[in-house]
Amino acid sequence: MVNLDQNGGMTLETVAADLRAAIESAPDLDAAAFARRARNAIAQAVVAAAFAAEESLVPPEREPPLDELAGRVGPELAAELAIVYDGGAGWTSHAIDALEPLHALAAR
Amino acid sequence: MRLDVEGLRADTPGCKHVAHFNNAGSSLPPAPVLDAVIDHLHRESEIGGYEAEAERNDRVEHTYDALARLIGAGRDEIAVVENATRAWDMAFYSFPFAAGDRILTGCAEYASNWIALQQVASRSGAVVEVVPDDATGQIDVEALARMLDERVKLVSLVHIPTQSGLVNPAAEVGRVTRDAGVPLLLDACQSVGQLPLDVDDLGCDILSATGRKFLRGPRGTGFLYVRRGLIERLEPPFLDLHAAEWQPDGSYRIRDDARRFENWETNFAGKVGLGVAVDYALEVGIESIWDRVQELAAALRVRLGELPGVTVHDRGRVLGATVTFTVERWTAAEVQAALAHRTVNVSVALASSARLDLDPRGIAELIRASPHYFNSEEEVDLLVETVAALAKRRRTRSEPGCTAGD
Repeated sequence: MVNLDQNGGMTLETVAADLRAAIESAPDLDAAAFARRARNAIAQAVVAAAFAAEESLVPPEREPPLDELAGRVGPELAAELAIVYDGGAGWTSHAIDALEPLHALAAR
Repeated sequence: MRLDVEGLRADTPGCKHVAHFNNAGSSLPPAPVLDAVIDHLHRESEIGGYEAEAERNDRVEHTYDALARLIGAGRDEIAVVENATRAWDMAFYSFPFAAGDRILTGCAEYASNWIALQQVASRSGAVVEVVPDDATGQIDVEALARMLDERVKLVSLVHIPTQSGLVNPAAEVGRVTRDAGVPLLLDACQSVGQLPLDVDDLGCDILSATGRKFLRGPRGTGFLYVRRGLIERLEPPFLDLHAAEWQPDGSYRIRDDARRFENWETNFAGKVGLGVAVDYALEVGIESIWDRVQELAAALRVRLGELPGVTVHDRGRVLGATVTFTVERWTAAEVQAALAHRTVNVSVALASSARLDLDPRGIAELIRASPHYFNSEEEVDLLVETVAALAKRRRTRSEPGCTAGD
C-alpha cells in the first residue's frame, strides 16, 4: 500500500524550521519575493499543524528579526509575523491574519 | 465497465509519489508510454536520430492510425504537432479572413485562442463576436443559430475550458454550424482522452488537441484534425519542405493531406509515445474513463462544496473532470502550496486565461483539481481533508462566531 501522505512523517519541527527560515529571509529578498516565500511557507506550516497532535511549534532558538521585518513589510505585519515565528498557541490564526497583507505585497 | 483502478495505478509510476489532481495540466504517463519514449531516445543514441526514425517508421506511422481511430477520422486528416495551441493556430491562421467577415466564439474561449482571434481581426478587418452562455453556463446554441449568417466564416468552440468543469454541447453546435455551412473549429485540448470524441458525431471540421493531458501522452505533443474536404482550402501560415515540395520551375506544391500543417523536424520519441498513449486509452476504454472521471469529479465537488468557506465554481449542464473552487481567506497559490506539502498536486487557473468567463463572475483565480481515472478514493479523501483543514483555520479577529484557531 502506497503511503499517500508522504510528507506526513515530516515533523512539525522541520516545518517550523522552513517557516522561520522564510521569515528570516526578509532582509535578503525584496518585499514581493519575501511575501511569496512567506505565504507559501505559512500555507504549508498551517496545514502541517492542522494534522499534528499539537499546534504549537517548538520554541525558536533565537528572536525573530523584528527590525528587518518592520523595515521590509511595516510594523503591523512584522508584529504578526513575529508571533507566527514564535509559534506559540494560536499562531496559525495570526498566520492567517498575515496572509492578506502578504498577498497584497506579493502582488506589487 | 468498472476499471481495475489498482492495476492501472500499478501501471502508473507517478502514483507512488503524488496524488495527482493536475490532469487538466499534464497527467502522469503510464509505464508503456514512458517506456516507448525512453526506448526511442535510447535507439536514437545508439544508431542515430534519422536511422532510428527509419528503423521504427512503423511505430511513427502507427500514431496517425491510432489518433484517427480515437476520433473517428482518416489518417490523412491527422497532423501531429507540438501542442494543441500550435495545432489550433495552424488551422486558424490558414483561413483567409477579410474585412467584414465575422468569427464567432464562446464565453469559454481560451486566452491563447482569443489572442490569435484578436490579432487576425486587427490584421484582416474581420470581427470577433462572442456567443453568450445560456442559463446553465454552457454556450447558448439557439443564440448561436441566430447569429449565423453568410458573413460568418468560422465558429471557434472550446469543448471543455481550462478553468471549469463545463462540457460544452459540441455536437449540438456542430449540427447548427453544419446546417449553416460554416466550419467549426473545436478546441478539444481538455476533452480528448477524457470522453468519447467522434468528429462526425461532433460535426466539427477542425479539431485541435494535446497529448499530455487526459491522453496521458508525453509533453510537447499535440495533433490536429482537418476534414478532408477542407484541407486543400487551407494554406498553412508557414510552410517547409515537409509541408510542401520545391518544384523544378521554382514554385512549390503543398501536400494534399493534413501533414501540410506539420513541420519537418519533430520529436519522434514524443510522437511514438503519443501513439502508445492513444492505444493505452483505447485499451482502457474511453467510455469507462468518462464514467470514472465524472464519478470522481462529482464526488469531489460535493465534498468540497460541503466544507464551510469553500465555494465550488463549476457551471454547466454536463460537467467533466475539472473541479474549480476557492477557499475563503486563502489565495489559490497558498492552497496549492499547502496541498503540495501533502503531495497533492493541483493547479491554479487565473482570470487572464479565460476572461470572457471569469471576469463577469468576478473571479480572479481558482484552484483547479482535475482527477483522472487512476486517482483513488483515498486520494480524494486526502485532498478534501487538507482543504478542510485550511478552510477551518480562523483569523484572530473579525469573524464572529468563530473561535480563533478552531
